[in-house]
Amino acid sequence: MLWLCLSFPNLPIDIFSIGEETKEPVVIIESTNTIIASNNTSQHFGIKNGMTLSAAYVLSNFIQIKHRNKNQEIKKLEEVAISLFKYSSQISIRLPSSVLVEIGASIKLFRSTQHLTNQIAKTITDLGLHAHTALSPTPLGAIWLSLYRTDTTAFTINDLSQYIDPLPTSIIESGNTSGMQLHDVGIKTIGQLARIPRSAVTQRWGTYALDQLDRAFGKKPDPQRPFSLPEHFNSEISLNLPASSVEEILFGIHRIIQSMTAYLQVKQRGVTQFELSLINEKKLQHDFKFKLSVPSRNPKNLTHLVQERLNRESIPSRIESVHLRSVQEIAITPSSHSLLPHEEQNELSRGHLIDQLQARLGEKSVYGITVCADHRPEKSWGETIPGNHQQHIKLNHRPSWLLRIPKALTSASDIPHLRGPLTIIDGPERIETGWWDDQDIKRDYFIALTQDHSQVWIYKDTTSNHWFLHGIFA
Amino acid sequence: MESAPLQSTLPAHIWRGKEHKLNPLGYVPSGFTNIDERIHGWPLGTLMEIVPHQIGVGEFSILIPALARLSQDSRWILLVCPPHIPYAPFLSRMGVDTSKVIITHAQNINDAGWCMEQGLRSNSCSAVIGWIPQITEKMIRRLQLALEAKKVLGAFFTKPMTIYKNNPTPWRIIVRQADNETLIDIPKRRGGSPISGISISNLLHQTCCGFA
Repeated sequence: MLWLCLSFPNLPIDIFSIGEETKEPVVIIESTNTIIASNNTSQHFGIKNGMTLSAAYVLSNFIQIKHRNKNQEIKKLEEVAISLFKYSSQISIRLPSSVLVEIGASIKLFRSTQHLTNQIAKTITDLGLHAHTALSPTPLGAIWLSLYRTDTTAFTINDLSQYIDPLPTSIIESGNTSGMQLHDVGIKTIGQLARIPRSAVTQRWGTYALDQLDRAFGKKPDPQRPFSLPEHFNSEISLNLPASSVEEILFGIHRIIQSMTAYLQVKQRGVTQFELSLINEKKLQHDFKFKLSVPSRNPKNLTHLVQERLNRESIPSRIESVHLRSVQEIAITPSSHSLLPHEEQNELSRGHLIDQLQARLGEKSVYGITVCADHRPEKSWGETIPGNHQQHIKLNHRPSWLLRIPKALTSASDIPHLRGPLTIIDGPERIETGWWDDQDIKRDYFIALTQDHSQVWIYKDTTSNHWFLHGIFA
Repeated sequence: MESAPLQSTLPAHIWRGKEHKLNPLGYVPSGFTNIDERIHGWPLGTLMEIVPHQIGVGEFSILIPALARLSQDSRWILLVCPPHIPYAPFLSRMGVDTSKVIITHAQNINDAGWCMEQGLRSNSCSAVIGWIPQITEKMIRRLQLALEAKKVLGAFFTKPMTIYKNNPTPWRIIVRQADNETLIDIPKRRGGSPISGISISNLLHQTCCGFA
């Protein structure tokens, strides 16, 4: 087994900066007003972690303060874990800021350790994060090394001691709450601790220190709790600066959609319903619901859909974060290549066209039509979802256009007028039905010709003797 | 017989007025004998502008048999901003598979143009037909570009012919009615000379019996 540990010491600040780094000094504080992370610009001013906020103000007046968001840090680590599933199936998250990946089983697939770690490093950079990495045959070893040294590689247990021995004992102390004080009695490094007789250590400080030591050197099993995928994708991303236009938030949206598609890829699913929320400075939330006709995990298509929809609707000003949640997912079997080219592609793009049109025009403005078994002309058709299969019904001759609301015609001595008197060329066809739902009709339908040669479908309401225009033979 | 050797000496790229170039992407049979004989059917991959003399002269019906044929394909038939309800019983009776028909309504002319363009570009439509009375030249050029090299029937209907506006469409079709007959004039078509007065003998009759 070979464990790769990725530690993100800058995680508290990395989650607030996506894409390029801001030029202003930014610091992250915890409830005690102590700075726990800062960006490069702040460090340039001399701001260090552990400083109080008032001390930092002395160094720079313009610092931007953000409160630590632990939930979002965990979400980010989960996102990292999801994106690493393509390299390994054994991944676990170690709070506060590390992700462990067992890569030993994947080396053969990726040809070499070097190649594999490079790929992983690239994935992490694409997520906009900076990681310290370490390789070790034991998980705890990898974690310790990644926290204190970057890019250490220990392939065997024997290699391990030369890297771990110089590490400070504070690494063990920080994990324990019993007030162990190895450092204060002069045991400064792990190496020194390992050389002390075991019974003496246990007698003075309990079993915790030796337990950790044994796990790190592989003398004791150290099972890791595997990270399992959540039931639904649910993630939030903060924008560098408050944004008020679709263009400004598009980068963030694209990134969060990429995370979702990575998640869907691992789950072998496609999303059919998802919700996007834009949250502004005042924590007001605007929700947008999306429904797709075919499950998708194509980041380009999904971004496009979201973009069209947001362009159509008014978005709140000064948006600070974007929240994305998948509501319904459906399994997609990975496509095997069809014997006939483009067939499957076609099916996908058929659905995609509908989604795209609906995203821009609204769900109600894009629909299919169907024939219904009813003699009443206004009820013998219906709107339906596109692609619904039609019924087979025997039908009389009908016009190509039907008016949604019949237009009343004037008449003189029972001859209807529409741009002059109409000449009846066919009819009547009596339609008298519908007594069962209180919308019964009694009409005589005729095909008529206007003076300027238009063919129209008119009817005479036999109860009121009024004429109406109901269709056009266009 | 004597002219044959003379013709063969002409370079291939010299075009003679009598001949007309066939549409490279082919045609869809219009379902009307007169049209199919004279111009092979409706051209694919070329934008058609259809100008009715008056609403209700059978302007939509001239495309229906072609749409019936195209609806056998798995692709969509996209109708953008039809002025009234495209009546499903009529379409169904004419042999159009209504499960392939999508209707969209747009709030403004730009959205309508965008809809048509998406349909043309998507590779998932066999026909894209729009009713955009205020269509602009720029939009027509965009649509033509989107349609180029695609086996798609693309057409849009303009206002009833009140003002003759010279739009940059490759095909212009005028539909009029005279003596109970639907007549089609084609004042402009790519690779061919203008034709006028193709009679679609009694469209109404055709619709009654043709596909019953």
